[in-house]
Amino acid sequence: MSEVRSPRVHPSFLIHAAAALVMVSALNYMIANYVPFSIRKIEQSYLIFYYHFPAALSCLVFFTIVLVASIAVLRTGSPAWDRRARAAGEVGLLTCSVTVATGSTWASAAWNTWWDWSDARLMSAAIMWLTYAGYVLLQNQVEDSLKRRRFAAIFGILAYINIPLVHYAVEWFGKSSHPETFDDLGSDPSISQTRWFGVLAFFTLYLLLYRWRLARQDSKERLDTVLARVRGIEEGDSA
Amino acid sequence: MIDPVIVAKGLGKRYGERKALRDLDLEVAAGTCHGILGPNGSGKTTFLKLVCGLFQPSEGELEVCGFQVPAEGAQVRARLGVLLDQPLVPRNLSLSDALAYVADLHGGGIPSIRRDALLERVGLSWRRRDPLRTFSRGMAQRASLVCALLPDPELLILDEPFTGLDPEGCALVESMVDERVREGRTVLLVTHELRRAERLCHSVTWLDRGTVSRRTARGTWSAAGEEGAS
Amino acid sequence: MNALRAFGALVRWECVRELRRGETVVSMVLFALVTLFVLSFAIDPSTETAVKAQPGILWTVFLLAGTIGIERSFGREGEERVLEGLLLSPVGRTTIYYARLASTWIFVAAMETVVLVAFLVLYNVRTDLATVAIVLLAAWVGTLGFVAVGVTLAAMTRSIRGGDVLLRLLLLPLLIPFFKAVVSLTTQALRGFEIGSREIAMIAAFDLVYIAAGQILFQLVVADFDG
Repeated sequence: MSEVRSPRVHPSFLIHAAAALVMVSALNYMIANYVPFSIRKIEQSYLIFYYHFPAALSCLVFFTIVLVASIAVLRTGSPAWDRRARAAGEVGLLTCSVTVATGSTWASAAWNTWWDWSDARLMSAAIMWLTYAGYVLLQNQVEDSLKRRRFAAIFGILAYINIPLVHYAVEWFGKSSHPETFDDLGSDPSISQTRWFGVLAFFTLYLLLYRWRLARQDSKERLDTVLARVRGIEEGDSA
Repeated sequence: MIDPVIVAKGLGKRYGERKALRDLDLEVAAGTCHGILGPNGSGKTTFLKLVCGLFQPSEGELEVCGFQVPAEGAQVRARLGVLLDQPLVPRNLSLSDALAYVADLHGGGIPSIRRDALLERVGLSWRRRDPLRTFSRGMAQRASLVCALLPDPELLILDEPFTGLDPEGCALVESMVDERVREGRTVLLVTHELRRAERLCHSVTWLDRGTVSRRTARGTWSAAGEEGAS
Repeated sequence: MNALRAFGALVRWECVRELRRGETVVSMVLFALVTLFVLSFAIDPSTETAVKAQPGILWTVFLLAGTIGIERSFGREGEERVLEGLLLSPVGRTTIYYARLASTWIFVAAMETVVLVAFLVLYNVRTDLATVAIVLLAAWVGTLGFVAVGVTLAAMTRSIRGGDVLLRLLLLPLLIPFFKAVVSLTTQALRGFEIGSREIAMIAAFDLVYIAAGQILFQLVVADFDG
């Protein structure tokens, strides 16, 4: 049985939450006051970049956690790794949603469209969203927990393989009528500082969400086990 | 002294936290019929699947027909014949096609004389051209029996073979088990039916909640059987 | 147990079954034709846009119809215990995978060939045999990767409730890189342009990666087989 943990809110959670709150607030302050209000022709809509960039990076980190945890599940069959994969998948999907939403908003402000089919990075993010939405659905739909772990882990690996393939496919074969202008934001040091501080701040927040999802799953699983025992039914093969 | 056909040492199977099977030590001698009995949930099917190579052991060792499971699984399965609750062949094939299919899975070198003889033995010669999906449950069971015996397996595994069979069918299974044993082959029988197991098996292993609760040999266990598995 | 022989036997049996009574290829072709018509009605055929959209429509139809064949690779009617029977036989798991890949590929490739001809006729595509051969070759080669990952996912979803929809949700996003490459290649071929090396590279990478991954992961799908 997994290690016994207190069902009350763990103190490290509160510290973590406080840190996230402070950092994100600080980031907002920096965005409002510290960085240039607008850059050349992109104007102030570029500010959404400070939310977009951390989300995109965090997204990749969590998808990588899904991969690592999935491999671990297949090698050890451990439910703990499955929980990590599942939580990472959910938070990864969430950050991917933020990436797509902010990316789309950014494009819409710059080009006056809601969705830009020729924006390579937006397309990659959107396709990865669809892929990992399938992963999360798989984690929720399969009833037999042993099968679920194994199958989700298998798809977790396939989904990650898709990332580089999609990246190149979209870049090579997507029509680019709009050249990339968003990489070059200028050399003002405040931009770079804020950008990376944003990564730190938001990753702290997303990590908090990950820990929360993980804890919630653990409790849920323990509750399910207890209920199952009470009902005299056991999960898995009943020979 | 022929080596035992099944040797299990400390065999265990774990699903996540749950242990379906643990500390299983078992030996099945060649040329015997060995029974595995026990209530539902006792691990009979798990053990069966381990022997067949469908499951991988979590702990312990398992040797079947002299080969390690799962490392040498293909060698093991070449010597197995398995009877489950349904035929394991495509149902829209005719009976004779199904047998040809099974023969192909085993490398193809099974003479048609053997096929004909087995069909005759189970009384299905007259249905050889009919598709399997038109077979009643009893007939399908007989067809499965032929499929299992076709490659002349060293070890025949029967999982609840009497379920759904009429008395004639049950008698047929019993006589074929006896035949196999007389020919020096081995049979592993998983069943609920105590009386039949008593009649057929040289020895029995009783499982309860994933581990061995009792071992009995022929002639010593009527009383034990009555108080035992439900 | 000779693996090559077993492979041949398994592929042969699948083809025999399909020739005798199978509806897989026929269903795929009919579905493809219906979908082709529906998609064609979506765009005014007299416009330039319609011509540009044709390769995309062709491949959309291929993917959607092909998925039917893939679904059937392990989920055919009357087939509930066949995989179990194969796993209990002396045939190796790798051989089982490649045999399923091969037989499913044959059915999907057959559908693609027929539908391509229909496509050429329905869209009045005037082109030479060499171009058609190139398009068909690209389709056949790319379909290897398509079926490779599809068969693994089909083996997985066959035993899940709602697995048919889930198969499509999981499979289609994985096919997008291939889809983009092969549509681009088909467009180039039909317009008489030179085929791009990137298109070929992507299709090759897609095939290699998913055949390798598909084979390894298939073994994991069928390990501890519980029906």
